[in-house]
Amino acid sequence: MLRFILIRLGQAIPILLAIYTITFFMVRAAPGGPFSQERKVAPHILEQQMEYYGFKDPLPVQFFRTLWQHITFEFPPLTSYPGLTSKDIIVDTFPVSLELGLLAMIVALAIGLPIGILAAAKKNSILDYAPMSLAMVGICLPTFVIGPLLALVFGVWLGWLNISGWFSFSDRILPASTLGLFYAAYIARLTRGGMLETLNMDYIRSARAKGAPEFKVVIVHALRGGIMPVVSFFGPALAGLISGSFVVETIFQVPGLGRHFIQAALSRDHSLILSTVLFYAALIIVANMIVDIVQILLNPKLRYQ
Amino acid sequence: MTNRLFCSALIVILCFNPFSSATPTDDAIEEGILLLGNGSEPHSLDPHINSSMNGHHVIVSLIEGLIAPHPTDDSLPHPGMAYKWEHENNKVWTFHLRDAKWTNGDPVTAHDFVYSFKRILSPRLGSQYSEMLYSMKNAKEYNEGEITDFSQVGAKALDKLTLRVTLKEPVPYFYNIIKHNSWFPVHPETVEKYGVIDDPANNWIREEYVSNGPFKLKNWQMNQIIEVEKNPSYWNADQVKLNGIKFYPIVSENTEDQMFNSGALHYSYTIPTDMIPVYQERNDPTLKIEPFLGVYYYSLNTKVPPLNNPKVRHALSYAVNRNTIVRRITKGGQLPAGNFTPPGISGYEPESIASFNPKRARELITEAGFPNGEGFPKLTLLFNTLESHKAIAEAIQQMWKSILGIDVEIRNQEWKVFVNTRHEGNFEIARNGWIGDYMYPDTFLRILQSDSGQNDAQYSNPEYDRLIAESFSESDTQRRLDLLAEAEAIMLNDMPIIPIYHYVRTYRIDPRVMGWNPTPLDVRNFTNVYFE
Amino acid sequence: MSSRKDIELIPARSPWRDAWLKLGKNRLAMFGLGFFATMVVLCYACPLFYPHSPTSQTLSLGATPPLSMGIELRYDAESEEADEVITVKEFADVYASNAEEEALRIRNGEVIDVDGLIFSKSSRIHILGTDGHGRDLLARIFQGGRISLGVGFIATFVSLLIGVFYGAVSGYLGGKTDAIMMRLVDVLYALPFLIFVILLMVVFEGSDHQLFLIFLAIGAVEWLTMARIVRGQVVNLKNQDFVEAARATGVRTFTIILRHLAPNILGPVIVYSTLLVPAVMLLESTLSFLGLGVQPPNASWGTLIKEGAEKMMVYPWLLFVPATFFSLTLFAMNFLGDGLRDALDVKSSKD
Repeated sequence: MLRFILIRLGQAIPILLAIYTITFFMVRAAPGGPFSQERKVAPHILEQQMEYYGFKDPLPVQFFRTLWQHITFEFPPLTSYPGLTSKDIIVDTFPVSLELGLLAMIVALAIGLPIGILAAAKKNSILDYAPMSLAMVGICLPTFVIGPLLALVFGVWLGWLNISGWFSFSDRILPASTLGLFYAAYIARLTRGGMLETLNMDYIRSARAKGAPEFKVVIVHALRGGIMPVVSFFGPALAGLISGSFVVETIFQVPGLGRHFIQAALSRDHSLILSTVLFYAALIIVANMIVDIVQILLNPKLRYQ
Repeated sequence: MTNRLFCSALIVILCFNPFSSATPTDDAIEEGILLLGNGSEPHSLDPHINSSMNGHHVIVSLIEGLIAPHPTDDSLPHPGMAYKWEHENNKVWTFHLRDAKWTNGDPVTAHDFVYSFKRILSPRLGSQYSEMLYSMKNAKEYNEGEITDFSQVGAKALDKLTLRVTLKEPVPYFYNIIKHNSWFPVHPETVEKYGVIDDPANNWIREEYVSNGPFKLKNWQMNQIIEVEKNPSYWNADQVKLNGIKFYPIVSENTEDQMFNSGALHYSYTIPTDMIPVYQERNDPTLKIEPFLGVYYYSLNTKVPPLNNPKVRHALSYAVNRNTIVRRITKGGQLPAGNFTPPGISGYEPESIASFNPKRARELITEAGFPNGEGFPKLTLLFNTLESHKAIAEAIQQMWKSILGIDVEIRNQEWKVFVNTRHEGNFEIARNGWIGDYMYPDTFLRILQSDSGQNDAQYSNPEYDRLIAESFSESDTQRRLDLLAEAEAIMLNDMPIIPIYHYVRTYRIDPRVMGWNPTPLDVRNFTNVYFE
Repeated sequence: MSSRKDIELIPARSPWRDAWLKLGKNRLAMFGLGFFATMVVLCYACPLFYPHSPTSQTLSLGATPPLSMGIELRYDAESEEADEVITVKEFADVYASNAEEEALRIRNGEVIDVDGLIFSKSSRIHILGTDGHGRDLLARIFQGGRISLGVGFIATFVSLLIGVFYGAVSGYLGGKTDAIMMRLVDVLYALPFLIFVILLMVVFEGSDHQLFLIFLAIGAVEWLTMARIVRGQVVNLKNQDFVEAARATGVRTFTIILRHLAPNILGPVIVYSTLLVPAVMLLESTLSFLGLGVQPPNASWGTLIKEGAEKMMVYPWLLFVPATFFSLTLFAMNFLGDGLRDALDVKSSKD
């Protein structure tokens, strides 16, 4: 297992390098620059700024300098937040996004798994249709609909929770639920599909034939195989939960990384784009590695491969 | 069983529900803290680097310039760091500073101001607002690197508390210009402690915000909150009634509106367009609609045929039903714009030339050689991605189609691409807007001067340029304004831009907040704000 | 139980025909298919029969609720065409002296005269009301459906093709090939999608390409998840007895993937696809949100829902109506997907 992890981490280096290279040239090619402003800046001022932020050097020099900055974690000042570096931003905001993502994941699993399992076990009954229809509604309603609705009900009408901010624990409930509900719907659908597959497998039938109680068949025998699609889905979902939550972060005013990820691209802050993209990439790699490990653990046969 | 469960759930819910408890605004009033929505996160709180209104709102609570914002009238001066001032021919201004202190105990001196002017004019700092100081003698030259000796620039500390500013030309309203944060002082020793004078990444604002205004920075969490508290060493601290202000950078209009409704804010920076009529209808006492010095307009690229023909430009303008737009789309009581400069500048009475006249529009388009729009090339109307711009563009697209019979394509562009396209003149028709920096018409009219960086329409009329230049050297106040009005009329007869509406500030405010007077520049002197 | 004679009477059926027959028996699935087909026909055929254009605006008739009455206003009795069409509310607020009574008279078809202005009932009926610009909501929904369904299906199809093939090959071959292929997926996953799209959109300016690019961009991104799911499934399956048996008897790799693995992974793939279609439609709306999606005055269901969400406090139907169309279509697709899954399920078909 340790060897597997080490190999995976070793493989990560060329991946990150490839992503760095692609991103570097993509942002350089994108129209509009960090200093494009509503108020047109006088040419001499623009020159000075380009000079200061190192945009006047030849491209290869910029390429290797920025690469070195990312290897040594010595980041240059940002163009969009003068005085800060991308390290400051990530160190500041990632814990918030991580917390939001984990809470949302808990919500998603707590709702999605039971619904999916129940629906598969009671296939074609009301216990299947009703919750699955609800899940479908969850998918149809994007976060920018669910979020304001939850805020309206729990924030304005009932007045239980704050609508925005990230100060006390109760402020976590609305954003985490909004984000979680969306993924819960996916998890329910995937669990149901996976469970139905597994419930048709021979070993389940033999378990049933042996007279094992249905509950035990479903939970103990089938669940292991049945949640495989969910596990596969979780790698990307995890990274998406943590950094792709910019809609929820905007609606509920959560000071997380997701907004910076989009904002950096929109304000063409080259340094921040590269750092967040690399950070995001590293996150995905780790998440996928965890998924693979979990898959191996769930399917012992894979262990010997 | 189910019933009992339901009942207990209901009880839990009812116990949980603090209907009777106070809202955050009630608690804040007890503590004397004002809770404000403030749009989006300011990129910097450095007065010489900030370029956003959101940053400006915070900075004016922290730093005070020579002249402070007037509590009720934006066109009047109000003593700030200078307790009195005099001028010779509106050209040489002498400011007498009061005995004031920075938050670290150092005195505020005339030298601090000279240092600050030097800082914002340093080419390497790259300030976007350095142009605001160009009325000062040699300021432009220093900023552009033509001269490197700052003593040649028209700012001089005569002694510790006397500052003399020499201008290039007489500026009778100079006291209005210097209310802008680009003229604000910074504490030289603090700036030097965290970097050099012209280092754009100098992080003194986050390390140690030394200020001289009614409040001082207490807590700043990005995308979350900016908290300021009363500054006991402020010269006028006795008059400051608030104990502090919390600025919340809330990007989503709907979220902000709901926060206000749930009692989490005293003031909401914006209102979702569709909610305005709702609040108007119920005569909501919190709703305020006040004049705001800004104009929404379309730039026509005067270099591209057929837009190089003034008849076409006038036809397009006559076919825009401004009343319908403000009534049905923007809905916030905006004023249909017959001219460029917004109303509210006393003594300035420009001619209203742009209007809705479908008949005239059809005549003109026929005269220009496109009867019923036949043969009119397909132009593109460009705007930056935002729902409200889209709504207006869609409506105008339809008006031009039904009145003139011409088809324009409307296209949105992401902001950074959009501003580049516009500055490069790579468009046919583009959305534009301008907010005045101070209460004088030239803050608008300068945009369309031939050599202006903001002249996206690439408009050039020597007569217009001449009249504006003439006004700058005119010392008679009214004559000066008349020359500008004349220039504006000439420009509007060429119609390089289509004025659409003049902005208003639409916001909601808790009725318990007092001293919150309308200001067309949206710059507030927080000293005068208090709770009932 | 069955006699020899019975067996002879049953003709050999292909598994596909079998599946089709099974699907036919599933009432929910058939309902889904029917609804979905109707929706497609309505969306594409509506310009032929529906009287309102999705782009013509009547600003004075903005955001009217479903089936509400419009009032025609003529400045003088002679004019053929109405000078304005206004809402009942505006009539009551601005013109009427006795609003309720006069509105009722107009509703009953009377032509009334208030201070020289002539008011009459408008023959225009907007079944689902109008949007903020006074455009017929139903027409916009049909038009939006064309774009959304197009984006949803083409992008899903693209991702299905690439993803299934890629995932199956990677999972089946295993070892080094698998590692390399999955790492490539990792690289693509971690790429900044937004910047990628901004670039695409700007490089290929012009509205003709733009829509096509949305299909392409979304499809090119969404196959990644599909590939991972398929691979996970294949890895899970390939060690099972029936595959090992096939391998032991010397069946070719390609045939194993096609014959033995493909039918078994169809279930999760179909389930995921039915999830992917809405996801793609929503992704398109997020792109529009950033100004990179469909260009106005065109709309998609995603943009209609987004606009509705912003106005839901005031004009709830602007959210409710498109959201209902969207949900119902997805429900239909979901039932169809489930039906297909059951129908194609090789193992259960032998039960």
